[in-house]
Amino acid sequence: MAANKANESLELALEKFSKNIREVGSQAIWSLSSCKPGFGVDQLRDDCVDTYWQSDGQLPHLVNVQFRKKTTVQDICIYTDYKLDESYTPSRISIRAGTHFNDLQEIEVVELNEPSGWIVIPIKDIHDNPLRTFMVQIAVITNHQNGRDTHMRQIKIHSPAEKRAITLDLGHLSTVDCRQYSYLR
Amino acid sequence: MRDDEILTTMHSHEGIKSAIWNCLNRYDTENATFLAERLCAQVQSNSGEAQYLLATCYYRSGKQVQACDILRKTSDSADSKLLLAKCYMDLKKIKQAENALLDGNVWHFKPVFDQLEEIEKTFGDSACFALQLLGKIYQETQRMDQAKQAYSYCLRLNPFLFVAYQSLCDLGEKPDPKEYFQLRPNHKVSALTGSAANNNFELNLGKETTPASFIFPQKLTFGSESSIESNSKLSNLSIITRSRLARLTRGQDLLSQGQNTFGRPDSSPDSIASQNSTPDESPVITPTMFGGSNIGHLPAAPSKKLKNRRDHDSPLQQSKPFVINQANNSTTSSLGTSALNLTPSPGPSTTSSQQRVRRSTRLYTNSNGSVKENEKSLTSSKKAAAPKSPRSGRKSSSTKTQSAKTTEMNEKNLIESSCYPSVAQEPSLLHSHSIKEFLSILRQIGQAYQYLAHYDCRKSIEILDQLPDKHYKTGWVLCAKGKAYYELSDYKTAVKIYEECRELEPSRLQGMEVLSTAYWYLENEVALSALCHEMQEINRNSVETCLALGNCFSQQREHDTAIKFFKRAVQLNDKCAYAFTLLGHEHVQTEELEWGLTCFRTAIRLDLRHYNAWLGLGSIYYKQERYHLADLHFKKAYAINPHSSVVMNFVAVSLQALKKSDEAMKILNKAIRANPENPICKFNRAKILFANEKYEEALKELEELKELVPKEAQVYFLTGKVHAKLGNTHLELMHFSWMMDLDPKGANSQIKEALDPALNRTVASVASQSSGLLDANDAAMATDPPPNDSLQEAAGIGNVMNMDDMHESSDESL
Repeated sequence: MAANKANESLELALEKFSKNIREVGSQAIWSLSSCKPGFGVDQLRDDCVDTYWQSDGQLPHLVNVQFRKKTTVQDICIYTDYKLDESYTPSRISIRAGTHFNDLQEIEVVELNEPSGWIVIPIKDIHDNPLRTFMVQIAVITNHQNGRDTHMRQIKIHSPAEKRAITLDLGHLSTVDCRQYSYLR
Repeated sequence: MRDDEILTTMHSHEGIKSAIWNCLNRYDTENATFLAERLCAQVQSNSGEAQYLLATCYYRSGKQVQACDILRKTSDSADSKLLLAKCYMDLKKIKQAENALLDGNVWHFKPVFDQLEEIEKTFGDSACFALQLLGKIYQETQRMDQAKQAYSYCLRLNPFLFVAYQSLCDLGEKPDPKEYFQLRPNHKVSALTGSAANNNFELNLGKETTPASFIFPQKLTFGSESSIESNSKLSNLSIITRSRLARLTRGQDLLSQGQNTFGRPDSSPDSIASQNSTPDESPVITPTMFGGSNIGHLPAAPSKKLKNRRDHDSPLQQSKPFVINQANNSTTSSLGTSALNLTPSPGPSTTSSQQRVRRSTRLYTNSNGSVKENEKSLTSSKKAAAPKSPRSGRKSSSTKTQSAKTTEMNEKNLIESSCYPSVAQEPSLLHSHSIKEFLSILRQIGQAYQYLAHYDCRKSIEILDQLPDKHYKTGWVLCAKGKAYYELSDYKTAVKIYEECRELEPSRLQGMEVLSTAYWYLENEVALSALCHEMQEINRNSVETCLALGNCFSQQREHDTAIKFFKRAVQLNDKCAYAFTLLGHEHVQTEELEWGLTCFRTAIRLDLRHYNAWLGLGSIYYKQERYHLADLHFKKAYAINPHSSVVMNFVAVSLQALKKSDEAMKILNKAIRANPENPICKFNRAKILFANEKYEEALKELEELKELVPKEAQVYFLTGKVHAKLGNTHLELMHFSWMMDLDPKGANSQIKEALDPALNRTVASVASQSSGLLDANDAAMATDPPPNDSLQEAAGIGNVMNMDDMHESSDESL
């Protein structure tokens, strides 16, 4: 499982390198089921893995991401570190998606075992395409060592990059010769 | 103060003022500022040159606010007003700038032209600059018509202000360069070059040099105007020079008429020179030049010659009175009389000058051009190869009829002329030759710029190609040519030309943002990054560098960083429309359509003729499926740039979305005629034909497309779809497999959209047997992450049917 995840993360990293991915968290509204003061959404989204979110309530702890419009989600990346967080590290994460709070369906469950670093969770729909959804919920079901609260250091949501600039909808053009005529910058 | 004290004070201040100007001219603003401050303290009065001088020092040190403070108290003189307005413009206080120029609201209710005339009267010599500034003010406050009038007036006063011409073109006008870039009878040299007081050059008064060598600061006024009795004493000289220049056109055979005349010319420069004892006094043409006599007292010999001349030279009669007038006027002005004597009795100086003129004609005539060419080029409608022969003395009114004969005569004289007594008058001619030559270059460049501003790129390129080599191989011209190719969507050639320009002027930044966008189009990441690095080294904080960097990151799909850089560019220059356009594009990329709309609208507000922004707006509306709005904006862009095939593509696409296929086809045909290499036009045409079920024609188009862009997967995809409709299953499958070959990833996603996988499992098995290219596709598909690889692949090769067919077959299967 871990090896599989590692492979996937490698692939996804490569894909990111090939610039087909965009981080779309900034287009969404983030909310948490609970948090300790000073350890909330800002720390979760501040691009800094030293700051973290600490929950302060009952399991499952929820991170809700609501988009303004239906967004294609390709993967979710979560940074956790067992060495730093020990019992606060989540061990089972459930990804749910839907239109609103009452309409969420579980699409992915991820088991973690002493993770240290980025966890990449690819999101696919039944046709194996990236999922188009209004809302994503990341639920922490259990923590390592049965801890009650959880730490999450960073979460990123990725979407496949749109076709370039303003172009006529001709489909994906494969040659530069064609592409250069399809937009006007 | 006693009189002599006053005198000494005045004189000493003159010395100090010169010292300060000297510092300023040698770029030593610190010393100049200090001295000017002391001078102001010394003078203590609130008006006059000292204050203006101090304000100039502050302005040149970048201290606009201080300059404003000083000038507010002393804005009496025209120069102070101009400087005050300039300071306000730099501080972005447009209203105050306008008030400074127009002196309050008094003229706001007058028609614009009256206002402009008032400005000319108030500002005198610096009117052209005031008008240019006023034009800019009008432009920024969206009063475009008034801006156009102001620029046009400014150009008429001073044909050297090319930027005003550029602004006129950018505002959408088509100003005729021939009309603007020429010296006219009412052009005052002091307006063109500033008066002697301001120009701090030293008057060289050696024997060899003529007064004519000081020509430049002078008023160049022609015969008919009585304003010849000018304030500037040096104007007389210029008039004489003009008359000599005018005589270039006359083919007089004077040399044969005796060497006596040389005696006179010899004396004349001397006499003139002797007049000029001090630098401050302008050389005056006294009657001694003309043999120490008034008009009525011309020596016999010259007049004889004149008579002879008159006999020989009938075709030149027309020019004579004109020319002679000047000589007359010069004498009259020197004598203080205003009689305009039309009889040809200019005196020996004119003849000698004529001869001198002729000599210089020979000397300075280029081997390329003869005077003949000169004439032709003036009268021809298009400025062909710029003739390098001297163009002096050419006035718009006088030359056309005498062309042929004049040139013949001239050439005869050129051959016959022998040595001249002095080279004295030649520097003056040089100046005038160079003015004329320069203006001819400006005409050509102006015409090219006008075509470029109206996107008539091929004509622009033609004209630029005809420029002489020394002008062609400069940054400005090459950048203009590159931009012309860029607007034609010929990015490869544009890049080549820009690279040539960069080799010539490696530190040139203006125009390089266009090069960066050209690299973006060609997806040349390496070149773009290299360009960005070099531009950063030249100037990190210039708009062009930030734009190039933004393009570079956008190319790398890092749109957030690109947005950062474009925002930086906007901060550096919030009047740059292109920065806003690029920013808008990036926002669209990051799906922030509202921000995109705002940016494009700002770009349009800054520059109504920025067709890229109109297109951007249209495409956002197209994305939002508001096709009517999209169509409106695309048509606006098309109105501005009717020559671009890409714009026509957009228009056609929106028309098609509005179901107006015929109009769409018409536009596409036009686009293809305009630019046959644009594959997208043909592709769109094929698509429309396909949508209108004209499959045979669509196939024809697609065949041509295959020749044009053999590696384009979409072509095969569409061909496959057409064959599907026609029922040619084997051809359809062949094309789809070709498409998969060329673009496995892209094809994959498309086919996923087009197909229902469940359905295709049944069809796929059939397809996989018939297609022979499975193996190749296997390899191609290896990089795809999804687990159902084999199934997808089979489905992909399978029958990619239209939705209709799919529904039909799903009904069947059920």
